Amino acid sequence: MMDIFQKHNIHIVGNLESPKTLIFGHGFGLDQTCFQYIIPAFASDFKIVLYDNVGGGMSDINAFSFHRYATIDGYVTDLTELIAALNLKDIIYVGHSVSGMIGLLASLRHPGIFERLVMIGSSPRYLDDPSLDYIGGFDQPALNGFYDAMESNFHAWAAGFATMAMNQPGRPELSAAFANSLQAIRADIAVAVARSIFQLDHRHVLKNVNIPVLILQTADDIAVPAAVSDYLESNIPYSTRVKVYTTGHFPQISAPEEVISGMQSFL
Amino acid sequence: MTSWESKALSFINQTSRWDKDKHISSFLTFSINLLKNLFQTNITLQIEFEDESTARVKNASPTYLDDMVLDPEPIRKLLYSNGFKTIYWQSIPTAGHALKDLLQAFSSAIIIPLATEPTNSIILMGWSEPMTFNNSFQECVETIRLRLKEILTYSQQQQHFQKVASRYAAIMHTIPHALIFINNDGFSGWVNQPAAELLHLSGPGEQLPAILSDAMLQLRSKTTNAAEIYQEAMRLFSSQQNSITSWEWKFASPEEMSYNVTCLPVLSQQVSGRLWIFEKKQG
Repeated sequence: MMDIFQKHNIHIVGNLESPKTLIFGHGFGLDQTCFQYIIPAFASDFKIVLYDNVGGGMSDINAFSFHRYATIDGYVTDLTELIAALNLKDIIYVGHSVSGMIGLLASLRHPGIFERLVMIGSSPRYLDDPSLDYIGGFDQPALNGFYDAMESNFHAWAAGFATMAMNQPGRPELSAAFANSLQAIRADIAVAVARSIFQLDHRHVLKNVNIPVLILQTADDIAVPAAVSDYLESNIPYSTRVKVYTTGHFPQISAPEEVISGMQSFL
Repeated sequence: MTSWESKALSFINQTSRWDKDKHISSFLTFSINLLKNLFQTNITLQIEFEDESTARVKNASPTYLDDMVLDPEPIRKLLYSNGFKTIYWQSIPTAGHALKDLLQAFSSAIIIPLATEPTNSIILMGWSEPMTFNNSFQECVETIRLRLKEILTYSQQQQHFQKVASRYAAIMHTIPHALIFINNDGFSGWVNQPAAELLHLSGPGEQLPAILSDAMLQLRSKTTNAAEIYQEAMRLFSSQQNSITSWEWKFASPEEMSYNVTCLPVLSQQVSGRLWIFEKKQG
């Protein structure tokens, strides 16, 4: 069996004696380094577990399976295996983007192990659902165009998408760094993972979450409109929503102080 | 007849009467739902071994378990250690088995391995209350297991054929030349999208040879070199080579154009017919 540290490029930092564990899960196109500005604020009080999702960062590319990661359930199983292997309890899970939902689903699969959940720019469904008046931000033709663009010229797509998703016009170095991170992913894997993310629908499980959840929402996020965080707050029983005063999908990079402040008041 | 025998017969009867007009993917769903009702289970699902790192839950009741991904290796070890026979747990082991995540709240369970190509599966059934699996029960399950294997094999084969047919149809429809295949059996023919447009047919795909012959006759009647085409056709059908290439069909309307036509025999063990290829000439 593959070594789980190698598979996920796991790093354990912070206060290793602390009974409380913070796990950070990164979103699509990034890796564990995206939390580098957040971690110092929690390093003295928490044991901090960092990992890369398979297919991204420095994870073991040999562990990628188009079957396993055809839906995000493969990543949920990865997280539960990681938690079991490291024998972690009393977990506060901080998930950016898709990892927010991965953490939420893992908490439902193993009740009692997760204590709190922080969801940064997460969505239970990206597709609009007019039959239920749900706004996810995308319709299917838009997503099909998105996948087509990825498939036809991945590098050009990555550069364009990075600028839109980062949405920091005054700081082009941030979108350039995200573009580089995206372009480092194998194109076929990136397209497959994007499909598994953008086609997900886990709205029906939100009502089952029984731990406190912090929802962090930025202004003008291309991937997650404000209506989605409204929806999350309305449907997750013990949830609190905090608006982060920055634009784009990556507040942990563009406005780390705000994210730290939101997390500190929640923890 | 014991009630377990009648349940086995009921399963065979009901799955034999499954409406074959429905999509094949619903056959296994229907069969697993039937299991749930016959055995009054609290959890019933299929786990398919998709690849070396993926065992996926399908056709689950309760449905929220659908799509859950499990590691296949520990499950395979469990099956191996039981000789790939059905596992009857009147009392589920408390820990240390591969299915603990799924069976946390249950008392009894059975695991039915189904070895099929290209992917293997297991069927898992569980009960909240303790169950007794006597001989009659086990005979019933083993009878149903045989039928389940047939159903799974049939479903997988049909899905494979549908996938192959869809793939080849997509490739054929994308070829810019008009392709017309007429089977010598007199009952079947096939055209791609450009051919359907050229022959003004209702759509691409399967067509009766009579309809295709009629449409091609009409197409030929619109050519400006019909006599030449006719002579070439006569040469084709009397020649030993039995094929034509670089055969020009000219049209004056709706715009002046010509096609480079190829007509080839198609011969294989299962197929005997003729393939017509119309390639638009440039300029």
